[in-house]
Amino acid sequence: MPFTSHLLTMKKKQSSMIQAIYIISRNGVPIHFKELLEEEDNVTKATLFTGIISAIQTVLREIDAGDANYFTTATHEIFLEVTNDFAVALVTEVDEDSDKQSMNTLMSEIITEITFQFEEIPEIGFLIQEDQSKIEGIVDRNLAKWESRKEEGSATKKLKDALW
Amino acid sequence: MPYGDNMFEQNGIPVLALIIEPLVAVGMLILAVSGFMKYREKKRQPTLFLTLSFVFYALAIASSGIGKWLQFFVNVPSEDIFFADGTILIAYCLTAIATVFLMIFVDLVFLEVGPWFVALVGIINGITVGMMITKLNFSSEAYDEALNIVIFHALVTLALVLLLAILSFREAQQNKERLPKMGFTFIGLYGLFVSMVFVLFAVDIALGGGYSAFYYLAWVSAGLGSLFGYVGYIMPDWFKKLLKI
Repeated sequence: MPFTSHLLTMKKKQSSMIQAIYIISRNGVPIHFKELLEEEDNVTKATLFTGIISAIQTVLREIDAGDANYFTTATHEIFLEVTNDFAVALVTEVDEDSDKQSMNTLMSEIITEITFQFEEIPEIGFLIQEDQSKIEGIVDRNLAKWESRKEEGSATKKLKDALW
Repeated sequence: MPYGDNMFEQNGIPVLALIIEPLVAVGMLILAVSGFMKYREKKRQPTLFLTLSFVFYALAIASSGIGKWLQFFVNVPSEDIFFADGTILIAYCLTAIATVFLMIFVDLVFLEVGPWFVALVGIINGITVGMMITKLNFSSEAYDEALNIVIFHALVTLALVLLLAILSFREAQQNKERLPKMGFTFIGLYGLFVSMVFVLFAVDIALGGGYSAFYYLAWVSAGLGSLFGYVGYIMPDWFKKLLKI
């Protein structure tokens, strides 16, 4: 297999665990979404999905059950972290070996960086193009860092297995 | 500063060189045996290729050391046979093979780019070995005649071993767990000190190759590299206890 193809395959394999990242406003409007699986109806799907998350959050608040930070469906796992202004949701395929700690770290890093760069996220979720690009950059950067950490982790696993 | 003039020497070989090379060879041999025991225990491919690299590095150092001993003790005029230079060339052939095995280990553990990378390193070092063999003889000119190949080999090895060091330090930096953090740091140090061996020998050659301080520093660096390699790769129980793992 050619070198570049191999690297591309590796990258795809690592990314495939996280299927989507959503940044959602307090009112449930998608501020930014990144789908890692290519599908034609991403926008519709993102809108519907963030609506569902928002609805669940609202119901939980209504019944005083607190915020949900993790739930599953038959095929997907959803990780959620909520701040005063916005929420970050990660959608992954169901995987028994999924590393919840690393998902939470990724969400925390995205939240920290957004909070640091934006004084306030509008409730209606409308952002000017420049701010949208900033958030896109934050998500892409942190996702790349997460992937790099996953890759690093595999060397550790191999040496623990082979030597230590 | 060449030490040859003011230290005890015979046939152009200082006594200290007779001691330091076998000592480092024994250090690398201990690493090779420990690696082999790990392989018997774990039966993993990376362990096997890493052990093979230690074996060939140990043989290389032993070859160089044997040359010095023969040169020192066998009373043959150096115009007829000059053991030391020929055995250094054999040693470089062996380090070229060792580096290929080390890069298989690097690929299996860090890079995962498969046969492509390993084949490239194999071809480059194969050419080095081939060229070195064509220049191999036991005259006092052997080393000088092969100097360009030696420099090429040193540069290639330096780049590859530095790659191991960089990947290991990066891995150590990313790790929060104490055992892999320390393990990778020491593997990185192993790579760094093995790289330094080639740099220090290059400085020694630039100064005329007359057993200058850099020659001895190169062997000290190799010895320290073996020690760091032992701690990082083999991770003995006493070290784990020291780290309270």
